[in-house]
Amino acid sequence: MENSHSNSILTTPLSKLHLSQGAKMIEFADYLMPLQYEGIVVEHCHTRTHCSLFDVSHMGQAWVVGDDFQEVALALQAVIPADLLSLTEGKMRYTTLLNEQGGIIDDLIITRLPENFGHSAFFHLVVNASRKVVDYSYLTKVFKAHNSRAKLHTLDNFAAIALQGPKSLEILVKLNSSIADIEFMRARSIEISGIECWISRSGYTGEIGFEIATEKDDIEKLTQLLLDFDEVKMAGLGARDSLRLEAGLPLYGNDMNDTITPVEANLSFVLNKKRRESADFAGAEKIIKQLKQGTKQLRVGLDIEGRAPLRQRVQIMLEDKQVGVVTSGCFSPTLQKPIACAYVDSDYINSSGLMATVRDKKIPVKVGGLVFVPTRYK
Amino acid sequence: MTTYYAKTHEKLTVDGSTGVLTISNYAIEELGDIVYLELPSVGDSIEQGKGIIVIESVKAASDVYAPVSGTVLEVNQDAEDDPSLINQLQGDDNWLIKIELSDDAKQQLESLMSDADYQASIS
Repeated sequence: MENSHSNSILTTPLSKLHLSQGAKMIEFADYLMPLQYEGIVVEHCHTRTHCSLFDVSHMGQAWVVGDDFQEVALALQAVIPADLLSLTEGKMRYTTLLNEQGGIIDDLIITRLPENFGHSAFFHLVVNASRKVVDYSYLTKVFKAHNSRAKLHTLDNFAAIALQGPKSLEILVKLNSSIADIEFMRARSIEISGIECWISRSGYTGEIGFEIATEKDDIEKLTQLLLDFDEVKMAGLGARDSLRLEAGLPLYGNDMNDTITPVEANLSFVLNKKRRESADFAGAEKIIKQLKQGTKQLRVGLDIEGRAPLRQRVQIMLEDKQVGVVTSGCFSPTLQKPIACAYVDSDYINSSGLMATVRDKKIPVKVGGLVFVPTRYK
Repeated sequence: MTTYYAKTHEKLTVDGSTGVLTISNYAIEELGDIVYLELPSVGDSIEQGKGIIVIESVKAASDVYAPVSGTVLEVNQDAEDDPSLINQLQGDDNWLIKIELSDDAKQQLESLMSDADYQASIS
């Protein structure tokens, strides 16, 4: 496991390439990462119209290994509310890792590896960079507590990039035509120019896109192959954040933490129907009660009057009473107006007269949907 | 016409008793895409060192401080409607406000940097 507690800042194998591309680098989750190259808005719009390449090597990747598929799936299901037992080979799920109180320890993507994958590995996990140390030690503890022989095998020698945008498919197909056969939220091993890649059709922008993992030693060559296409440009964390917020996708640490349940986070879709009935995952009692009775607060989108962006921690007021708080906000390059998501007290979600306080100004807001720009991924 | 700079990256171009306030090209490039401006009102008195303008870029909100004391003569209404004007590194459209300098301002100008000193300070 990587040591994220050390004081030295971590880098990805693409850090030299970022600098050669003119990146402005910032520290993010202990990593030195590109915030932007040409500019956040240009990169954002390029992703929506063409496609962009993001370095996602900071994210944690791991296999869950064991002797028996059922045993491994059940060990994970103890803290993950998805139906992993019935997940077909190559299929992936967006889900959450839960603590005993139903709080979200992390949100993650879990993929069932093909039966013939090898390495005794049954599942592939992708977790947030800021949470990998916590996640890995939690899962290891959970496996032990359930006397399971399931084990975590962290892929410290892996790096990953994401190609996101409407042109991503036609470009990747030029490198290997079988990429066209990967359906949305599925993954498989595919070779590109002699490089063994693990490719999934998924992403964090709301556009059609792919995430490609490979050995660290090969990632720069792969990135360069993609950058040789005129339509492909690098994009940084700045554009990644505004793209995901337009698409209504939450960010761990902003919009979720380990005291918030999936129901409060407006992510009830991660709670599989069968699993709700069996109620056999961490925090199930509390979560199922919330599904029936509702929650005190809920993550919602905000329709904001005017042009002033609402940032994280801006308070939502009804007269003198605070009834909510913004957890993510930006100026939407696509809509040319501010967008935000917030936790709002459930009793006041339909109230008129909600105001966000920015400096000494009161800005009228209305609770709306979380998806600001319709998603086009498929 | 003389140009002065503050450590906090404001640029003041003074002609007689009037000053035109902008932000330095360095600050424009650091801020990135500007999406929102909060300007004072014409007639407001401003005091050296106090925050008088808020500039929001895609990334974050930043304060602009009054480099000298005075009264707001004019505000750039066009830039309030289209904040991307402030991102222009050249031309005359990227100004924020015009200031009628106070009696104290002459002395306050001495605390600011010349163009050459400012360029040296950021390099």
